[in-house]
Amino acid sequence: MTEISSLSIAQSARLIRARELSPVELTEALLARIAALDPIYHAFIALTAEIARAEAKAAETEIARGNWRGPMHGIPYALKDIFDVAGLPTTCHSKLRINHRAAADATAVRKLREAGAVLLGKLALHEFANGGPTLELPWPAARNPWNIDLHPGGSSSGCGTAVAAGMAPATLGTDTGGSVRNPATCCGVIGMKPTYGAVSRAGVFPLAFSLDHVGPITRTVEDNAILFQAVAGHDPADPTSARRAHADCLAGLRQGIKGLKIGVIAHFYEEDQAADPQQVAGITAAIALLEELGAEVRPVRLSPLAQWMDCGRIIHYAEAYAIHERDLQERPQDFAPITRRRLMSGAFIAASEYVKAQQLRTVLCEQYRAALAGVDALVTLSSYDLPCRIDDDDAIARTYERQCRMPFNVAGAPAISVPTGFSREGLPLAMQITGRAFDEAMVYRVAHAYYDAAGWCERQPPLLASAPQPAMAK
Amino acid sequence: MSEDAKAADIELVRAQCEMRGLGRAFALFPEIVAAAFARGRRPIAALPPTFTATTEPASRFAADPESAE
Repeated sequence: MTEISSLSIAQSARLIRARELSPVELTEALLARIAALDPIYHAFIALTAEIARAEAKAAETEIARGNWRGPMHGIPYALKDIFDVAGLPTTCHSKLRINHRAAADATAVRKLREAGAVLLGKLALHEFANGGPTLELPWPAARNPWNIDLHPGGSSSGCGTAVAAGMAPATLGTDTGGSVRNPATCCGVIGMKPTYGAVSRAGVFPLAFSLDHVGPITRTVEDNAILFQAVAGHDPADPTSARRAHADCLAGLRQGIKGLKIGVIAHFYEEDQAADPQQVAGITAAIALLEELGAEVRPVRLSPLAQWMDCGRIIHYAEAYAIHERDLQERPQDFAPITRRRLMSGAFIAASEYVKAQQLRTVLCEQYRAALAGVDALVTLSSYDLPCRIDDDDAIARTYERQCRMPFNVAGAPAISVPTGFSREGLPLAMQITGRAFDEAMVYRVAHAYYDAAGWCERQPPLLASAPQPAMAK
Repeated sequence: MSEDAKAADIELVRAQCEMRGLGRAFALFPEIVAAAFARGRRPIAALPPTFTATTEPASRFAADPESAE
């Protein structure tokens, strides 16, 4: 027996294609689960049940006629509420956007519609993808399914929560300094920040133009590759969209890693900042497993983490302030205090410091490319600490500094967060696997080999006994 | 820091806010704005040895976007 809500995208797609599972049945099962669990976890800002039922019915009808579009056909998904969906508000989890209505779909949403996917709803985030969890907003903050007193990570907090709690098998988030990988890390799921320019940002509310990436969060690596492939590709509507076809990330997924060279950026978490010993133990065991699987592991050094963080911080603050300046001047009281504090910093950055940060970025990107000349992929930690309490503002503020995700936004390189086990407290641990620009296929290949061998990645959070988990014969 | 120095700092922040149209924000949330000022003025701490003043910035501008990669 398999619970419908715990099916992966790949499993559901096979069953849907074979007409052993109806998209309508799958959608209804997830809507029932959301109804039961979301009052506790607060992953969703808005449910789109009518849209979901109509899209699921249309998928069922089309597939019954023999027109199966691909692995996302009939698969339910949800969006961080920063993506435009025609006719719906894109609130960015902010009071300032309550009356907004999107005129058109974001390109990623359009691609998912074309793939036949089923929209379940819009998900919670940190206000404008920049603040933090707070009670001072029109919607509650998402909670961590592993312990609802803890922060689920952000800013794509609802994405991590919804996937980990089995409320949605596929979600799309955005990542400017780690906002896809952080919730994936905290919630024990898979989060990919693709190469800058690989997925269109058109129709996605920006945080910092030159650091923003759209990325998928899913329960399995294979599912992540499926969702990435559905949304990747050139888009004339995004001036930073790359004019190149991405490689097939599914074809080589199961090739294994025997003979691959993998670099370890250990100085980020051993010298530059001291990480929690349980996080270090997790990645150390993961590296040993990569070696067991046949990879040749070697140390790699980049610039100290502080240089990458300073570079990203200045670009992020300056670009974000430019977007929000007018509202900060005219209605600063409408932002949550945590958002106001972070956004306002950008007002005081000197123009020369921003240019210097972009110059530094050139040097760091060259260094990153050189480091990958002798290896196929890199691994390093994701978060330095375990998920903190959601009501501990100081601990949450520290999470922005105590992570090594920002370097890969600065480099624009693909980086995926993969669970490396669990702490003594039963909380998820994680590492990042990164690669060359536009080589998502290699990153997914290494991640899948590890995920497949590690075993515990199937572990799911302890959920309420009352949660509906309709079973299906398999 | 002496009380005089703190007062001078706050006056500097207030003046900077006025110049940037943020007078209302400063009046409503002086402590938050002062903290943001301190964070925003924090310079890049250290630079790699290969960094020079003439290093080309990473940001891209294309006069003809159609030809840009």
